[in-house]
Amino acid sequence: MKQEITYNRCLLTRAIVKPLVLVLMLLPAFQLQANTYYFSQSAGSDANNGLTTTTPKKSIGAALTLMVSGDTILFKRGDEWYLPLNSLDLRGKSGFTLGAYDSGAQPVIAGMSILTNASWSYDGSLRWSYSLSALGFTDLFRVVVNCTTVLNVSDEGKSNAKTSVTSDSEYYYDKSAEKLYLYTGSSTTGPQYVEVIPASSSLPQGISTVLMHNTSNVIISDIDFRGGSKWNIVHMEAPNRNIDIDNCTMEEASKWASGILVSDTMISTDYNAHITITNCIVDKSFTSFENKDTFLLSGDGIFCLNGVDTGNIAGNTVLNWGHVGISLTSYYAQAPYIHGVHHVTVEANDVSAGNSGYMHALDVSGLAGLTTYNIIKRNNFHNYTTTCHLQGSNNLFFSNIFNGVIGTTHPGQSFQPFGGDMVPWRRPEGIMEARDNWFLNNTIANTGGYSLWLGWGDSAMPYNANITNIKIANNILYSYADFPFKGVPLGLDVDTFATGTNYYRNNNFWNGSSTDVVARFKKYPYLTASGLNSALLCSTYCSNNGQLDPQFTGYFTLGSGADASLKTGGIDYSSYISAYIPLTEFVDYNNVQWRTSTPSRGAIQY
Amino acid sequence: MQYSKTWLQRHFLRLCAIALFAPQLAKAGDTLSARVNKSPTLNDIADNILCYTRDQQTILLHGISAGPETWQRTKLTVTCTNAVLFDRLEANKLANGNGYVKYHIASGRAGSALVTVTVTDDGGNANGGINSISRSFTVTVNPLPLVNTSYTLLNAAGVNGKYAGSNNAQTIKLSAVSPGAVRYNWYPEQLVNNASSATPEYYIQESGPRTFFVTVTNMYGCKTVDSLVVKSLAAGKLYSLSVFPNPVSKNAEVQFIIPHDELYVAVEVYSAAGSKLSTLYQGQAKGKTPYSLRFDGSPYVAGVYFIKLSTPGHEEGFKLVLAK
Repeated sequence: MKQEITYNRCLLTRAIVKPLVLVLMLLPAFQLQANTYYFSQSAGSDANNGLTTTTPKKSIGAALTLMVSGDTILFKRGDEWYLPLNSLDLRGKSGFTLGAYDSGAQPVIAGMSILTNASWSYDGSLRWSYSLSALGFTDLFRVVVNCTTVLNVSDEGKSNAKTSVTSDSEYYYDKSAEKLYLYTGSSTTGPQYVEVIPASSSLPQGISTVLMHNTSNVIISDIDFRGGSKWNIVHMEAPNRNIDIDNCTMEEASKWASGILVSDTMISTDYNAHITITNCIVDKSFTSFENKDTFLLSGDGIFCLNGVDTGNIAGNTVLNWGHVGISLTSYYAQAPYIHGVHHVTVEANDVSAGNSGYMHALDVSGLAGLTTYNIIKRNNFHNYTTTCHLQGSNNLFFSNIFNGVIGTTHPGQSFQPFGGDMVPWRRPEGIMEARDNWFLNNTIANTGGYSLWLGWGDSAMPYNANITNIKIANNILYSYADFPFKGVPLGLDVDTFATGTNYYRNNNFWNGSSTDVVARFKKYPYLTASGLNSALLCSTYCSNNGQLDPQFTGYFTLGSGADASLKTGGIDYSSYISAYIPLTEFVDYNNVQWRTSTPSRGAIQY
Repeated sequence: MQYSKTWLQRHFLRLCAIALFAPQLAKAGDTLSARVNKSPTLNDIADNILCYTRDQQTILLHGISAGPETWQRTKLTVTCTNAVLFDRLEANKLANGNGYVKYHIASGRAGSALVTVTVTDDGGNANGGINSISRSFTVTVNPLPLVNTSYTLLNAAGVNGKYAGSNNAQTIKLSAVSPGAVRYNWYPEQLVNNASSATPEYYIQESGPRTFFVTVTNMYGCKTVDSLVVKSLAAGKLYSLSVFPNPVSKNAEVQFIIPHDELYVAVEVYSAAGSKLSTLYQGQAKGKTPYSLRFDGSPYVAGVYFIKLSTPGHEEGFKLVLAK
C-alpha cells in the first residue's frame, strides 16, 4: 500500500522555515567573525587554515582574499614576499589590519624581483650577466645588490653598454636582449641577492607595491615595503578613508619614485580623508656614488598631492629623496577640479637629505585656496640642500627646527640654500599663493643663504600684492650666509616685488654680532633689527625684532646666559591659536606646552 | 763576496719569478684567509639622553656590512637591560649599510638601559672566524618635573581675593611644588614679585580670572609648564564658584571658595531638568581656601548642566555647557 504522507503546514514551518531563519540570522554573524590569519613565506602553505602560527598560510594572493571586514593578517617577521609586477592590491577593500608576528626583522613585501644567485653567467672582464627574458622585464627602475643600490652606467654619463660596467657600484641593462650586467671583481663568484624593480610591456611604468583606491578603515603596521612602480612605493589614489600606516619601512624606491603618494585621481574632486602615517622610515635608499651631477634627482618621501583632507604625518624619519622630504602641494593642471590639501598635520618628523644631493625638506605650496589649514609643527628639518616652501594659505608653521642647508652642487637643480621661502611662483594654471600663514617660534640655523626669503619674481607680473598677511613672529634666525647677494649675510629678505602687508615681530637675528645688518626690506637694502623695526612701510608691522646671542646649548636650547628678552616677551597669539587649534596642541619642539602669553623665542621654550 | 754567473742567473730568475707572481700569491693568500670569516661591521652608536616623552625615537645606524665578504647576508638584532623602560624596542636593516633602532618609552618610565645592537653575518665562526659584532649605547630617560600649583590669600583682612581698588590691593601667594626642581619661571613675570621663586606673590590688580604659567625645570634640564588660574572676585562678593573650561568637552575643573570655615559644604551636578546627577564635594571646608574639583562629563550627553554650591547659609549655581 502506498503510504500517503501529508505535511502539516505548521510542521513545515517548525521543521524547515524556523531553522532556515535561524541559519540566515546566524550567517551574517559568522561572516562578521573577525579572524587573525598568519602568513609565512618560509614555512607556510595556502592549504593551511592560517589560524595559528603553526599552520600559516603562504601567499599574498591568499592574503588578499582574507582581507575582509574585521580580519587581521599577520606576516612572519624575517620572511620576504617578492611581487614583481604585482601589488598588495587593497583597492576596494575595507576594515582589516595588516601587521607582523614573531620576532626579528620586519616582514618584507617588495614590488621587486629577487634574482636567482645560481643563474648568473660569467661574461668576461669580471662582469656577469643575467637573462631576464623569461621574466618579461622590459625595463629596470632600480637594481639592488645584497642591500646596496647600484647606478645605471648611463646615469654616470658613461656609454650605455656592458663594457662600461667596471665597478660593483654600477649596472647596465640591455633592454633589447633583456640582460642585466653587473661587475663583481671576480671571475668565479657572481652577484648575490640581486633585487630589481621591473617593468613589462603591459606595465611599462611598473606597478606600486601597495595600491589603494576606494579603500577604507585599514591599519598597516610593522611591514617593510620595497620597490614598486617607476613612480611610487605606496600609492593611495583617492578616494580613501581612515588609512593608518604605522611603524612601517618604505625603501629601495625607483630613482624617480616617491615613497608614499597620497593623491587625487587627476580627473575628479575625490580626496583622501583621515590618512595617518606615523613612525615610519621612508628612505629612498641612496648612496653617495649614485649622487651624480649627470642626472636630475627626483621623488618625494611623503607626497600629499591635490587630494587630501585631514591627515596626520608624525614621527617619521624621511631621508634620501631627490626632490622633497614631505610635500603638501596642490597645483596640477586640473586645478579647478581638484580638492586640494587641507587639514593635514605634519608633526615631529625627522627629515634630511641623507646622501641625496638635492632635496627640499618641506614643500607646502599650491594654487589659490588649495593648500590650506595645514599644521606643520615640531619637525626637525635638517641637513637638506634646498629651501623649504612655506606657502599656501592659512597654514600654521610653529616650533620647527630648520638646520643645515648647504645648497645643491647638482648643476641641473636650483641652488637655493635658504632655510625657507614664502616665494610662490606662476604655473600654467595660475599663480600660487602665500598668504594668511603664521610662521611662529621656529629656529632656522646654519643656512648656506638667507634664513628666510619672502618675495615674488615673475617678469610677466612685476608686483604681487597677494603675498600678504603672513605673520612671522618669535623666530630665531641664526648663522646665515650671503646668498644670493654676496658679501652681506642676512636673516630675512623681503623683496620689493611682494607688495602685500606682512608682519615681522619679535624675531631674533644672530650671526655673531649685535650691530651687523640682518635684513633687506623692500627698497631698504640692509637693515639692522632696530632699523627693520622702524623702516618706512614696515614700522606698523615690524616691531621688537632684535639681535641677541641666544647662547645655544644642546640642540638649539637657549643658553642660561641668554638675554631674558629672548626667554619671554614673544607676542601673545593665544586668541588666534585657540580659534585654530586647541591650546593644548600648541607645544614647543619638545612637546612642552607653550606659554601663549609670553612665549620665549625659537622652537624650544625656555 | 763572489757570485758565480750561474748563481746570479739562477737567483735573478727566482727574484723575477717572485716579483711576477707575488700579486697572485698574495691573492691566493687572501683566498685562504677568506675562509676564516672576517668580522661584520657596525659604526659606533651615540648614547641617547632625553627627557621623558611619548614620542617614538628613531636612531639611524650606519656602517652595517658583512665585512670584506660582501656577498654574505647580515641580520640585525637588539637587546637591552632594563626592558621595562620600553614598550617598543626594535632594530631593522635598511639598504646601503644603514639601519635603525626604534624605541618608545613605556608610560611614565624613567631610568637608563644599555641597548646592544648586533650585526651577524652568515659566514659562521669556523676556524676562529667572527660572524658578529655588537655595539652598545645607553638610553637615559630623565623624568619630567611633577608640579602641583595652588594659591592662598596672604592678608585676608577683608574678603577673599577681593579686588578693592589699587589702593587696597590684596596679596595672593602663588605656589608651585615640584620635588627636585632647580628653577621656576613664572609668567607674566611683571605681575609677581619674584618670578624665579617657587612661591611668588601677586598683588591683585583686577577682578576676574588671571592665568599664570610656571615653567619648572629639574636637575636634568627637563621642563614642565603648568598653569594656574587665580580668580579674583568682584568687590562685595564673598563666595566663588567657577568652572574652567566652559563649554567643556569632557573634563572641567570646578573651583569654589567660601568666606569662612563651614561644617557642611556641597557641590553637586544637576541636569537642566533639575535632577541631581552627582556630588562633587560634600563635607567640611575651610574659608578663603580654593578647592578644586573635577567634573567628568564622560557619563553625560551633551547639553546644559548646573553646578550648585550649597552651604548652610548660601546657595549659588553655575551653568555648565557640555559639548561633545
